[in-house]
Amino acid sequence: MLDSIFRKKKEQTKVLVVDDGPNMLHVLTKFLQRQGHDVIVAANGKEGLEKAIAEEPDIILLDLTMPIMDGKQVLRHIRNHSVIKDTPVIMLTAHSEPEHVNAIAEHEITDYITKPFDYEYLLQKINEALEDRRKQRV
Amino acid sequence: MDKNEIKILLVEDDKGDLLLTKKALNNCPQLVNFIMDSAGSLSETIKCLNSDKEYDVILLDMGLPDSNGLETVRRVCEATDIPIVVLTGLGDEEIGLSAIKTGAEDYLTKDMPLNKFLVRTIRYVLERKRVEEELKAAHIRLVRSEKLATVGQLASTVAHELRNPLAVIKNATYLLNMEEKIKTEPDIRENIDIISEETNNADKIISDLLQFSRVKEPTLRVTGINKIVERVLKKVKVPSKVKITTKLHNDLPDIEMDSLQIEQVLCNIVSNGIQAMDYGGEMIIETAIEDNYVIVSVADTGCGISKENLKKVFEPLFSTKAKGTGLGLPVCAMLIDKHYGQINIQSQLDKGTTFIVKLPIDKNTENLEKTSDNPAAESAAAAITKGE
Repeated sequence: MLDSIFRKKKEQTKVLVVDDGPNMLHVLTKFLQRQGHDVIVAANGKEGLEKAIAEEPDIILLDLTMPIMDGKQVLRHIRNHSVIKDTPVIMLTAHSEPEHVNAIAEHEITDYITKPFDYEYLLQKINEALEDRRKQRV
Repeated sequence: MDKNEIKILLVEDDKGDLLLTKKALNNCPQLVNFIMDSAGSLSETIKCLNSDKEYDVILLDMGLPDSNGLETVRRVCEATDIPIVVLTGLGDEEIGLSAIKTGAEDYLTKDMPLNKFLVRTIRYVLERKRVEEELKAAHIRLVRSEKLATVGQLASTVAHELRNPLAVIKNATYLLNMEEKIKTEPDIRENIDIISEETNNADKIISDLLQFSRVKEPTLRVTGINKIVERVLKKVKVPSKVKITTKLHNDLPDIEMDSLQIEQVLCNIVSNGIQAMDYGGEMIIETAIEDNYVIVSVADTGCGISKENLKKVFEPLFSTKAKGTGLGLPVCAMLIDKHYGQINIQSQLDKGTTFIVKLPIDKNTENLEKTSDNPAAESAAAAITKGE
């Protein structure tokens, strides 16, 4: 019984993964699905923004460096959008730079993860971000 | 000259000329102290140059029992960077000029009044040498900063490009590990573990390289070095076979530094020391004060560093460790350089190694000229410059 509630709650989490690497999208999708998440993918920033607006995910994992529209641009559009502006965004980046810390401080991104990362760490970050969002709503 | 002592190697086989030259130096009216060694042959000269003694200038008679003429100049030039003043016979202007072309700094003919010209010539030569070295150092610094900017940019791009596939490999490996089948197949499991381990190693190399290529300017805050040593000891994993003793000076002045950067340097040195003590040993970490410097020394009883390797430890990518990236110590050298400090090593094979980090208490003291006295940073810089 408890298990099913737990599972159901997890299934309700809709994760949008935006990354221009098809293999990255593949492994992330596999992993998140195993965790019981509902996963939507986008292969570039533009597609990511469109899906973010259409699907209203609970959380977005956003690659920073992408063609067509990069992570920063996508983020700006999200934060300016009336419906999805408060969606938690975790930036995926290959650079560990202080500007990401600043971006967190200014509430632009919820968190960031430097590639390559551990899945345990990713899960922890996702859970923290979702938990924060729930608290904000209450 | 800020030194009031000039060390001369006088190469002269003629006893009469030797006496005359010595006399000329002793009688010179200027307030300069000369310390002189003499050699009567080329082989003796080379022996002097290879000894521990240091000279500021060489006065060279070209006609020696075992070498003659320009060949003498050429041979001595090959053996040393010390400036050479050639002593030639009466009115041998042409030979003097040829000697300069061969590598001598200046020449004196024996018909010049020695007591008048000798000292002046030596002073001019030394001054020229000093300016030349300053220019060379400035050039190295310039090339280094340009090179670093290029390397930094390149490393940053490459790191990004490599970290993406690495992330995929790492995550795919994780997914493989989740497969039930793996648990019953030790062979597959073993290889997956190898992939994981090597992925982490690759990531470490990239992080080290990135760090090396963009050593940040220190954020200076007044801190006590002892506190940093204690933090380092909490951070570093010490195997039970290694005993660490600290002798912390309890009256050290707090100094301006970037505590994170200094912590990084000490972490690196302490971990290196521990790794050098494969079969156990003792490490003594000591803090002290000396002149205008706060000093941290880290002494281990490990395998030591050979004389040959000692010259290379600050060169980027040099490592004797199987898993070393060869970037740890070069980063240390650059960080200490940015603090206007120094980092020195004393080592004996099979006895152990002592790292000495010196940080200036007062950076405004005028004799602290950046990089000029830091062989470690020079070495790191020279290695980068080498690629020209």
